[in-house]
Amino acid sequence: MARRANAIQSIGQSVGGSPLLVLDAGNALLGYALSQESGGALTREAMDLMGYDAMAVGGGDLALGVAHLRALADEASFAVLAANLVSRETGLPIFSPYVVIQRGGVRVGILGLTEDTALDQAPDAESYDVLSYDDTVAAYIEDVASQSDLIVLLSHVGLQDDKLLAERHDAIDVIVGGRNARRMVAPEIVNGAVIVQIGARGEDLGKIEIALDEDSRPVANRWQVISLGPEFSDDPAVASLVLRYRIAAQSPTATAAESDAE
Amino acid sequence: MLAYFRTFLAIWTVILAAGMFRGCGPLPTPTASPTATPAASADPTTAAFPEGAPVLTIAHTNDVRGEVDPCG
Repeated sequence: MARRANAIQSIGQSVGGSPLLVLDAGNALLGYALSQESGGALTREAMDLMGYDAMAVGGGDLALGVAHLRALADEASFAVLAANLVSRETGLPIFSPYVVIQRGGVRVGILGLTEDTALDQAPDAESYDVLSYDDTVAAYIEDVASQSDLIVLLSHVGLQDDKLLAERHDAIDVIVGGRNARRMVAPEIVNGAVIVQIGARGEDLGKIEIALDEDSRPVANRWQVISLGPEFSDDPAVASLVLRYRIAAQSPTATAAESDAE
Repeated sequence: MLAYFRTFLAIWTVILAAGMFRGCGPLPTPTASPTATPAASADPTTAAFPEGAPVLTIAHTNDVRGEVDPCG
């Protein structure tokens, strides 16, 4: 985690004043022991420090409940997106369906999708539904396109469905995907959309560079897999955060916030 | 008995060696200033970018599952 923070910081320094987005395609918050014990608070705080702009909801993020993730999302400085996860009572999305981020004069619309089995682990699943990927994208894509120069689908539906969505929806420019935990060595290009996925467990970081024309439309792209091996030093801020949570975990009566105050 | 002990010792040697290889060990002491390291990585896919074209960069992850460090 602290290596990833350092790598993201390095990319930020290398792009200079050019626009940079940091995205996660889901299953980000829970799993490893310390993150799980913190209820995802550790990961949420770390992602804030790393400058993440948005994440898609993955089924693993719902393991402590939809309401729990909703509360974490309210505390996050990044957008938590799932256009197709709706309340069974109202039919309305629980999380933001999309976000438009303007950076360096480029308006990037980011539409989030979660997988059809996302509620399998959620203890409060009976109050929610996951809608069809295709219908959901169809419902939102024109709205997103009208506000954006470029559209990114931030997707935890898996590579096969990502390809189908790219075929059916011409407006999608980039799909940052997940679920298969597939470490791709090159992007897949489907109907002009660039589809990427970068393994699992934080072992790698993906980097897409997209050259834009005068209308901020993509004209070329490059992709790079950055392996987060021990050659990356730890980012001190994230390392300190982890240490604080470790101390709190070893002292059951102390919270991470109390450890910070000491 | 000695054989059991040797086997036990060998197993623990392998486990400890694997842990050291993965960078597991005492927590690092955070330092006061960031120590950014140039990115060591696979070669990027090549594409000719139009000269002077603005570039949008997206750093991305997926299925991190709350990873904290190589030792969990």
